[in-house]
Amino acid sequence: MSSVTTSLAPAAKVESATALPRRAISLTERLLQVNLWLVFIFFYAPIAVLIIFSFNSGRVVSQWEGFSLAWYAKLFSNRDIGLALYNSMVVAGVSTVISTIMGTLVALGMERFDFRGKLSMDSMLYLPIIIPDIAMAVMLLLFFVQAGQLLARIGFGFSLGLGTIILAHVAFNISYVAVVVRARLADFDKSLEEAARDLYANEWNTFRYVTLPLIMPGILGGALLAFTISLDDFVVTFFTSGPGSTTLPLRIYSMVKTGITPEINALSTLMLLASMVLVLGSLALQRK
Amino acid sequence: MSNSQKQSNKKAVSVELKNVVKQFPDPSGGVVTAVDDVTLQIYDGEFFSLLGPSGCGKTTTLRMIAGLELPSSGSVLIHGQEMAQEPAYRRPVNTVFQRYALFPHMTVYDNVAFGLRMKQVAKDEVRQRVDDVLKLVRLDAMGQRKPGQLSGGQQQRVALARALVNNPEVLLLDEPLGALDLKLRQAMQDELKRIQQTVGITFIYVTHDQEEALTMSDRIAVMNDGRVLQVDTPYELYEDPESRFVANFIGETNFLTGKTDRVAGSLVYVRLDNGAMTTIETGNGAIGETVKAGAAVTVAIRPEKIYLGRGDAPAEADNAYAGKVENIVYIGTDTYYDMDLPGQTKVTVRQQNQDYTGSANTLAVGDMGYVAWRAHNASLLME
Repeated sequence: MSSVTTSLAPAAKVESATALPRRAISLTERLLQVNLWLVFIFFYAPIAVLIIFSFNSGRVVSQWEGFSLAWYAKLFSNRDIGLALYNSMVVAGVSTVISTIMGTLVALGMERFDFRGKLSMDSMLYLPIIIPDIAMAVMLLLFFVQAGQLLARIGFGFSLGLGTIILAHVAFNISYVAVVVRARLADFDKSLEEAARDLYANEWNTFRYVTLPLIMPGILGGALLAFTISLDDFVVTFFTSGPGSTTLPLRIYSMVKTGITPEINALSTLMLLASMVLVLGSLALQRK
Repeated sequence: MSNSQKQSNKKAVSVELKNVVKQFPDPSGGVVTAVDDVTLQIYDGEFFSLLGPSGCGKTTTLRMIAGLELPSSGSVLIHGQEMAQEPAYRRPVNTVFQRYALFPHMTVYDNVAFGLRMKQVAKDEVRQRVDDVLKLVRLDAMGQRKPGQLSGGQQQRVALARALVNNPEVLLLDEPLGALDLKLRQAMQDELKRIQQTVGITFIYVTHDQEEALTMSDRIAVMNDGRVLQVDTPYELYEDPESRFVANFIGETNFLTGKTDRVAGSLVYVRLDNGAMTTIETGNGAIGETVKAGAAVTVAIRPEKIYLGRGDAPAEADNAYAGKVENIVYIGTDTYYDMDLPGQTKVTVRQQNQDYTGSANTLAVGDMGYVAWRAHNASLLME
């Protein structure tokens, strides 16, 4: 084909005519490419600095004095940080389990049943994702204080601590899980469930052997996302925590107040690594 | 219909639908009647087809037998047992779905074993039965593959095996060959027929393809607008359609309208709208009891049953009319001639090209000739 078109005289004309717009496109492309690199540098330069300086042997953050793993060693022998990590794990673990179960059930309910007000409930489901963290934090704090006073009158008083942090994290994580699971359910082929029912599976067995295994990647993806968000959360945790319930981000904040040491760099590097692994895992599962 | 009544005396009824109605809510607030008062009897070991255009209610009817839809009213009996309101998992029937609906996360073996495991059949028996049925559909080497690794035809056979392994009393097939290309379709038609004859299970087959239904079925129910129009053998449906819709949906037909002139035994004489007389032999000796003189009727005659002749019509011919060739369409095996008869009447004739030369011996556009057909080849439609 190409040999035929080039042998024709008008083809040459057409080629020269297209040459101009083609050059213009390549300029746009180049600008876009440059922009892309700038954005990536903007994103990752601070991270690179953080990681590099976590291996600095000196005490001063801004001055490179040689390679050392000393700050990592110091980090692992710090009891306060160990306790904060433990708290963070408890909060993230428990809130992830609860919000994954509830979020999945919410997604299933939204997908399967038609009811009055479904549309407005659907958009309200996303509210905790959109709402500013600080607003969420303040309202949860107020709510917990009020509820604490109310329940204290009938003898079930509680104070702020790990329990309230977990409840607060559940409150926003349900939305994230529900959104991810719903996306998975939207592609779900309903005839598979019909086939299961046709093959003597009652509703429970249909769910257990067909629906659940097929939406499992979505559920696990949602759970990993929830775990990551919970692990990293500062604002909501800060407002809803009490004495003895310091999580890792809160501990880092209080350490920063007394001056930044490379120990924080080391800790941040490790948290960054953990978050990245979790998010990549979540994305991989959602694509499955 | 007379045909089905004859058979009902001999064969046990497998599935019976009595006045089944299915209505769905309409988005605008009303109701849509998908299946409108369907009554059917399907016999043991029969290959029965539900045939009709899309939206005619055939799939909904099948789904009500499967239990995937529950009828708004009416009865669904399976071997005499009332099942209309039973859920799908409690019915002794299995379905081959249109797009197979194979479980993508399970191997072929686990897909086929699913029904047996749900029924808690012993492990050894499950293995035996799954192996046997995979052999029957010629997939014994594919057990450990996932459905995604199989071709369309192979997936189709897994779907069939997954249903058959349960020894259902009735096998329901919802346009199972719809997604396959032509060659594979034809091969699978033969395969399905072979399997049905091997296992002897009642097959209820939904299709919109009239040729497929004619080739495979023992009997066919033709549906339109949620109603069953005619239930008959392929032969009866083609040779003796009872309505314009059936005559037109199955094969091609010429329709000539007119009024009955007189009835004599099994013969009905009709005065066509163009003034010509035509005779129909109905095969019913007492047709006069149902057809009265002066009734408006339609005469249906298949294009291939019309003889096309050169020159003048012979005086002794049954129904012979002079006409002019208006158009000729050559389609390889046959040639269509559109004939213009007096009085704005047109008839299409289909002739086999046994020795087609396209010149001297055959008629050309604009030539005069005549058409003729035997009285018993025409059908009388009371509409």
